[in-house]
Amino acid sequence: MAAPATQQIKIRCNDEKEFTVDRDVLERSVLIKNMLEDVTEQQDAPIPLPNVSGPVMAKVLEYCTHHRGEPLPSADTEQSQDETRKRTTDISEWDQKFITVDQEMLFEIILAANYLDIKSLLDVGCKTVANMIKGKTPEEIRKLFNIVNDFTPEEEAQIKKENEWAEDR
Amino acid sequence: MSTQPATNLAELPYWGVVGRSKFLKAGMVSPTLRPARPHTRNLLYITALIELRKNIPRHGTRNSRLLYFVDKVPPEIVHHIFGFLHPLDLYHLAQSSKSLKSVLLTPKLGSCWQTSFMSHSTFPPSPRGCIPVKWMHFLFGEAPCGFCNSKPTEIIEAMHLCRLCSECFKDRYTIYGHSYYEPFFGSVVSSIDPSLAGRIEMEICSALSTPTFRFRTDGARDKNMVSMLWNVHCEEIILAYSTLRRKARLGEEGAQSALDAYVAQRLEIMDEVNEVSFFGPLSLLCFPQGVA
Repeated sequence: MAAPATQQIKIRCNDEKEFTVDRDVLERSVLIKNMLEDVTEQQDAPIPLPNVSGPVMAKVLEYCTHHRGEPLPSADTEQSQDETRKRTTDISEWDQKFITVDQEMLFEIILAANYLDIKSLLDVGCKTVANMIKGKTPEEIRKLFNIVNDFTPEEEAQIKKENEWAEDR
Repeated sequence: MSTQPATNLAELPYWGVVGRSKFLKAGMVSPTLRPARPHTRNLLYITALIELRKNIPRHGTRNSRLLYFVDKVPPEIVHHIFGFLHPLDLYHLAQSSKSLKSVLLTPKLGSCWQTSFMSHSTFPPSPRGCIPVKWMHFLFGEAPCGFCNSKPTEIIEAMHLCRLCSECFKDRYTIYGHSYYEPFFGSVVSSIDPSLAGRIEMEICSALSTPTFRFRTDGARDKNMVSMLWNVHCEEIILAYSTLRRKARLGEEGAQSALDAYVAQRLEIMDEVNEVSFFGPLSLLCFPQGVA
């Protein structure tokens, strides 16, 4: 954590909202980290982020600020572990509180994390969605995500039969 | 790819079968099992869902109104999310709409099933040659006998993944037990019903145009040998096998090697059948140490 850690970087979102952030906070995003490494000379112009809106970026920055300084998972180990590692849906307490937002925002955060390449945030978002689906019957899942039930009545009856008995916990 | 352990269905905590003492004794069903009352109940499904519903952290959503889930989210993220889910959740998703079902059936998303199975190691992964949705339906689908579709399931036939009541089972299968199992099964021989109809039957028939014969290969050859034979030709097999065995026991010269040769021949036939069968080598399921 030498001199570059305190460097301030400007970013601009798609709704013209600008943020000035510490470099080490922003570098949690692999996308921005790579961008900054490519540009060697000091630039005053803000980095344009056309896929992220201001409110979402504020949320993402809140996450990055809280987790600043934590080691970034390196790309290769993550890749190789992904296949063998057991996946849990456990989320830390702070992250749980952080991700308690409405669905619209949750999906925006997931999309932003995917675009900005912030693996840990993407995981938190995806785990949250997974936890929403967990243990729900098909009917509950449809309600949750507003999925249209396009099965025929016969197919529907078949599905009902298979699930009704689990209703009484 | 073939690193998945073979699954012993009898070791599942919930077997979804109406208990029958002889099968209990033979270790074919779990002793904790109680008879299911309405026969459409699939005990396995209910218990698994109840288990799954325990201890799920509920957070992350203040309002859970409308969102066009799959449409809105790019496929790689959907894949990532699905990888966190329990296999039963994926099964539920597949039932929630046609588009989700087709999504979950595509080979592209096949690996999220694998991830899910791997993350839940107590859950039996789908055997090779059987698509996950089919496997899940076998475990968690409706419970009545797959043949007569009216009587409760009493036997889960793991070799060909179907559910049977004892009558249909007797009609269509011969269990030929040896040593330890003999008192429980004896050798029931009946002729095959020529008017076989229905989906599962068709599948089994196409899968098994010849009888099958399988041994445990975990060293406990004599003790734990039990074979299910499709009824065609089984009298023949039983006769040939028991004759050879008797000779071997009496210590006749060459009888042991003849017996071994006969067994090897049956195994070969079995392998051939498995290779061409729709289900693939599912007889693995019967015997955890299964196939070399």
